[in-house]
Amino acid sequence: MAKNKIYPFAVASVRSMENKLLSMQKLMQMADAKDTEEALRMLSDTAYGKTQIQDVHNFEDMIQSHLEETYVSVAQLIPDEDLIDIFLYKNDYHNIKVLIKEEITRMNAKKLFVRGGTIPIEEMKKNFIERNYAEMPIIDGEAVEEAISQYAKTKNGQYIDTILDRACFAAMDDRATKMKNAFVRKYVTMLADLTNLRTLMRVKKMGRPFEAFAEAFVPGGEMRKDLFERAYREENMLSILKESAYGSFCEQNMGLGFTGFEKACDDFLMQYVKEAKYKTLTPEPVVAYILAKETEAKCVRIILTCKEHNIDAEIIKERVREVYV
Amino acid sequence: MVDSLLNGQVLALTGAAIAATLGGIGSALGVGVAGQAAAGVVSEDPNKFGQVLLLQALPGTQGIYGLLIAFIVLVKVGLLGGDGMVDLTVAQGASIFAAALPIGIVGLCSAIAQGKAAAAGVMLVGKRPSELAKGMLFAAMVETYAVLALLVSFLMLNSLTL
Repeated sequence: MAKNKIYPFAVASVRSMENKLLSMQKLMQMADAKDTEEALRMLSDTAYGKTQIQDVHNFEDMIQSHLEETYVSVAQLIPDEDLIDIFLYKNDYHNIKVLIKEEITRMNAKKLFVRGGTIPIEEMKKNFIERNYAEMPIIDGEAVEEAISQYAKTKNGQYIDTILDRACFAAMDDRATKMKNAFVRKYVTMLADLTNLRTLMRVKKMGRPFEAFAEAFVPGGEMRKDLFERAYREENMLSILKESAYGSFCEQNMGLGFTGFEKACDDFLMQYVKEAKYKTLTPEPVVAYILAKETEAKCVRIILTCKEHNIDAEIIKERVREVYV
Repeated sequence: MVDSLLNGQVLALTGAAIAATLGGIGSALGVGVAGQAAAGVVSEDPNKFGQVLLLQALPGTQGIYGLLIAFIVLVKVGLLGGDGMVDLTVAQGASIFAAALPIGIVGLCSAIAQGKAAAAGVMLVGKRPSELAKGMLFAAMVETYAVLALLVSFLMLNSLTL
């Protein structure tokens, strides 16, 4: 009968939860607020309000506990599948980066950890100190060692980021291939490609050599490294990038400047994720909901951070990403 | 052994069994899928129970149609009358068997399909509670074909003279 496993309960729950996602209108209202306090007041009327914060500058805490709550509630919907793990890897890798840097600088970076990874922070810390990578199979131990030794050689913290980002994408790519879910597979591919495109743009703009790009190149995308290399060597990158699957996307958005291009990348991904709206029984909407929440959190973060720095409402509005609902 | 099984009575009863069984299986699967979706919506908003229950019940009709046809067959062959089962020729038994096929097969498939449509309707209600009527209509469209099959089965049985 049915070839794919179906999840009516999970999808229906998620559909109901979607009602509580912040609309573009609400986000715009927040952008129009006169200061951070007012924007936060608007936010506390929504699902984010569950976490009470004393200090307005602690809004990151509010966002994170809300995200963590989302991860937990979605994971409970599909208990027998680690469907959402793949989206948590980035949090794990973020935490391991913080751990490495903490060790190197001997500073307490407690505030920099993010919640919502697959490995609890305390456990990761313990295993990291013992260098017990077998206990955390998601983390690529070799990459961690490489990052540490590269840092020891170069004293450049950027290597820690690039090496572990690469490992993170490799882990996601590996997981996506095993999942056999076309929707997730394509998402990871697009994410890797767009990340590489962003890096290319940044490297080119900053006038760094191609090696800087090659170091930061993440696996998992369909655009190959030599395509990027040709694009880099060419005066006009577009003439080469036009050949790729992202040809028209690049043509439309590469002229927008870096902030504009970053937003365009996020919106492009969101456009893809929105396809899940038309699925009813397969797990796509569940996955899409997580991504919708992450994008929402990003928007809230952009708005509140901009408010903190008294940035003009019009500029904030330009930077707010497209939302799922 | 095989010869003694392949007589009119056995064929007629197999027909009744097919109508009731396949229709029932289809409805059970359909109501099951719709029910899971309904539970998903209620888990987020318990007030929607009444609305989604209506939708969940929709794929249940195929089982009833199957039961109806099975009853008619049983009455026809005299099992529900009291005088005992009438003697049937193989041709008569095979005709009754054939008459039971439409509702059995269509009932099975349409109930599963309707279950999916009803589940989608449940999700529609979860998102937009005011659109219950539309969600029900979408699922009810599938019902057409179950009714047509019921009609064919009924007409065939009705015009059979034993």
